[in-house]
Amino acid sequence: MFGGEHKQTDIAQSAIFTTGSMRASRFYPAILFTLFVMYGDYSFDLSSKIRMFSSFIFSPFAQVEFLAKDSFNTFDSYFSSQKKLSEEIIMLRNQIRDLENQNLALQNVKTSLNELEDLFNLKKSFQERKIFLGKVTDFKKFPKELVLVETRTNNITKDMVAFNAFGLIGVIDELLNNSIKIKPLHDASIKVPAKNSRTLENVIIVGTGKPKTFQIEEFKKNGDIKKGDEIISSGLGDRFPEGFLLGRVTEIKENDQSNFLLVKVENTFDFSFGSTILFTEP
Amino acid sequence: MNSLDDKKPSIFNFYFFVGLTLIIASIIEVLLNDFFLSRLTLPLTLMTLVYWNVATPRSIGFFWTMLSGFILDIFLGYLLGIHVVIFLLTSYFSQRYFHRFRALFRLQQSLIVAVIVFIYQIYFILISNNFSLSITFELLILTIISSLFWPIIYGALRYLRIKLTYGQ
Repeated sequence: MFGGEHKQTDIAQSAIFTTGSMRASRFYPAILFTLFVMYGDYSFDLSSKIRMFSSFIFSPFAQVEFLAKDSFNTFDSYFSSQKKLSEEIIMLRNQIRDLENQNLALQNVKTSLNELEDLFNLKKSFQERKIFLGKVTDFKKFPKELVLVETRTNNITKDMVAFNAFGLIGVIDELLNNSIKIKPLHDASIKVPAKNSRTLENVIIVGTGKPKTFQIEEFKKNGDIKKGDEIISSGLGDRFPEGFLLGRVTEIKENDQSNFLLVKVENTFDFSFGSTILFTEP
Repeated sequence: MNSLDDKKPSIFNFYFFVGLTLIIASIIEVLLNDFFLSRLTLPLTLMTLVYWNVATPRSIGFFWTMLSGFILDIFLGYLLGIHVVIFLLTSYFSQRYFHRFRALFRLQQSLIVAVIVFIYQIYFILISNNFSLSITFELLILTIISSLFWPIIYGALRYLRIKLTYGQ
């Protein structure tokens, strides 16, 4: 019963002090080579290149599972009534997708037409002034807010102002070949001569740097102003055309340290709205 | 009557068969790692390597050891050579002390393999600097599973080796 174990013990007793023929000198070159490869990978990221190459080589094998699944499903549904139903569903889904695309295209056309209508209504206010149209190609928010507009005319000059369907939205920042950069009216560097449409008092509004928000510069404490007053461009200084709505007074703050009121004006003009921009002389 | 020596395959056939088993073990290890998404893996390649180094120390050099190590490094996302270093060390010690290992009972061999696997996993925990209670638990479980797997791997590879060598 224990014969096997005795034999094993005998072998073990004779083997316990025996070592193999393996010598460390055979082991060193392999370990040196491995350390060299490790250094190469650490320095030059060899492994990621090998991984990319191997994933490219083995990519067909990764598809095998999906291919087999698809083949099985096709085969399984081919002889069943499900096939007809599934084909019909796919056809109807495609039709729905096409109709959705058409609907989207029509909505875009409608928006463009409304925008052009608004712009041409705006044109009536310009009387005899020349107007030019441009197509919005880009809108940048950083580092400063800008709208890039493409035009085909060379008659646009740097003193012109820009309108979108809402109204006056900015001034020309830079003229480039066939394109124009527009700076928003709410930019902190812009000052617009304006007047209160109720009292006809002239004021200057300055941009705050925040969209749709302005401040009236140095408005005296004894001046007549109320929340909700309409502020329109006065046309003074010939920089901006007269009579265009710039916003409404939304906040009036009094400061004991100052002789002036802090008057906030806001409008609803979206600087980045629309696809067409209208340029005109002031 | 055919002698056993007449049926011995050429050294090249045997050498490539050893390489093939190591590569297959590496691939299974990678697949298991993908399947279980664990931080540690069942070191099938290491155990296969230990078997071949102990069973036929003169027929197995360092080439397949390094190749299987590199395969694991590439597919498990380690720095190239991390597995190779530990495999080379295991190969070296297995080839040096194979007489003693062979003489042990299967249970004793399993314990030795468990110790090797434990050191191997500790090496990877140290490399990934990932100490936690859960990984300690994982380490112990994998060590126990590996020691239980050793007789199966030993038996399967021994069967294949005898089939290839003697055709019986």
